[in-house]
Amino acid sequence: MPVLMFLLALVLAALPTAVWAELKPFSQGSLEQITEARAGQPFLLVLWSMDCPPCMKEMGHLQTLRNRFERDALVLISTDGLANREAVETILADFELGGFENWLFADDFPERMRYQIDPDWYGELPRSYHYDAEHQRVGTSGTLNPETIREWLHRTTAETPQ
Amino acid sequence: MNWTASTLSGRLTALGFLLVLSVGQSATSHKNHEGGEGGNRLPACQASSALPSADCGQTPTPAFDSEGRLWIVFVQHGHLYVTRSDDLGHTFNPPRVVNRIPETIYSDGENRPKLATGPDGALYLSWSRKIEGPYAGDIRFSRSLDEGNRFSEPVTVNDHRAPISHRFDSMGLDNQGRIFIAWIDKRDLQAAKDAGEIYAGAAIYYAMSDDRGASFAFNRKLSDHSCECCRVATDADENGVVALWRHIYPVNLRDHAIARLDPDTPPIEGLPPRATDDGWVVDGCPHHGPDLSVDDRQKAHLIWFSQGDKNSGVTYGRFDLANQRLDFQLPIKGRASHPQVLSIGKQVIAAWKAFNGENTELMVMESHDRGESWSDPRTLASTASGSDHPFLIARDREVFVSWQTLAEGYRLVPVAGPQ
Repeated sequence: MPVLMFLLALVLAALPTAVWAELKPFSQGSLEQITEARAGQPFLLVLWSMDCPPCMKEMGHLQTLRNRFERDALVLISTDGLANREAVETILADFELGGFENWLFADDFPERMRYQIDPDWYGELPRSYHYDAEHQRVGTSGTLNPETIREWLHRTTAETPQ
Repeated sequence: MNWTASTLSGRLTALGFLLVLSVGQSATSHKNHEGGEGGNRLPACQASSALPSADCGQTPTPAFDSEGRLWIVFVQHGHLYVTRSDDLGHTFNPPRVVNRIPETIYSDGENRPKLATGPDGALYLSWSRKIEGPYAGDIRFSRSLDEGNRFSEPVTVNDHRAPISHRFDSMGLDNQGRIFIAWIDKRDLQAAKDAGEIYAGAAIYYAMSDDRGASFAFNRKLSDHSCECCRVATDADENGVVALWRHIYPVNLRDHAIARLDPDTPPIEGLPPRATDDGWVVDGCPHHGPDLSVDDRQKAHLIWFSQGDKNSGVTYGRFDLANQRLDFQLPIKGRASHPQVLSIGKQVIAAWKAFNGENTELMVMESHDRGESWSDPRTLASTASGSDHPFLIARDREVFVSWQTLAEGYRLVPVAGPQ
């Protein structure tokens, strides 16, 4: 049996991270779940949608830098809604971002979900929030460029408790 | 149903026993709506056999005809339907299907079918059909010359047929009855990409028909470098059709541009005339297009959303088409989004949605002096559910807001204001 487990572990390790893509339904209370699971840890929250070309550019940057993120340091939320689940999964697989925590808007009242995330966010995308270890956050609208992401990674690596 | 990519499910089956962490989460119980803020939660709309209606369909979009009858176009199960109400939205005639062959139709708040009524009773419809390819689409058109009994076979209006983006159609009729359809087009972006060049955003193209939609003249470019993900607004005055769109001014400055759709004028060279100056620099998709209503004195009443350094939120403004300048602007307080504006003579009405943490409120304010002074905003309706964009329409001088909400269905709300 240990041999079998070992073999399975090898097989799993060889699979692309996309296999682990798991989309969690984002609804009331989901943001708290995300932040509580990361208490004391900095992380980057990225909101995106498949009908937003600049989001795809940003996902490309995240793809390039994906190996520099701890698994819990990047959370992605797609605002596309349940009806587009398969397309969202395909995009996440294409950008090799399925290994991170991924959410999908699953409430048919998008204003309420946006408000939960930030009352002063009106749906422009991509939208991202840099949470520091104390969960003070800074919101940004528009594509994060690779330099900004690298800088954030550099800063948070210094902040993360070892 | 599980949350694992179906495309990978074959590979996963062999490892199924290890994958309990990625299965077992069922979809939430409410019914999926087909992309965007449409569909409906009313019990009558839940059955798969639900009949097409303005309550259950997506993106119901209104227009009054010259006899004051209300027409609605909406999308349901890949079809466009048109229905008529002779009692201001209380009851509707059985809907007629426009496209017999189903198509995937863009039907979200920003990108949705349009309906226009001609002075002679003709009904004109435009929409964007989703085709294979990223952001790909074609601009479609159909008409009815017999009061909505029969609709012509849909035609594709864009003469560039590569599977790229031709979407976000907007339709306007001038006072000669000519039909103008403007849209966001990526043919120039594609050409630049093919040549290894950089091209910001997309372009605004348009087509014109002077035979009641029997045919369209060749496509014309209005301007390069429009924003690629916001609706385009069009409206007509005695001099023709005016378009207002979110532009990309250098570099990534997403303020609005305004120009006439004049088939005798070549495409705009360089920067198009600027309608708004908010200083919103963003490499992103605002998903908030502007609205426009041109009055009989060459004043274009504008309403738009921005998050600029100079100005943010929803703003009403008035652009003087004769002098090409914005001569008045008024920021709207509160969490306003998806605004509309309508002018009728001296009267100007603005409407928008505002979410207060629990409910989305439909707000209106009015001016009786061409936008110089305004009433306080007031709540016209509200919903505790998702909702479509609101639309302002008028029958003579009577103004209404057309609004579909998931919990309540379709409604036509009169805007009876202080006189």
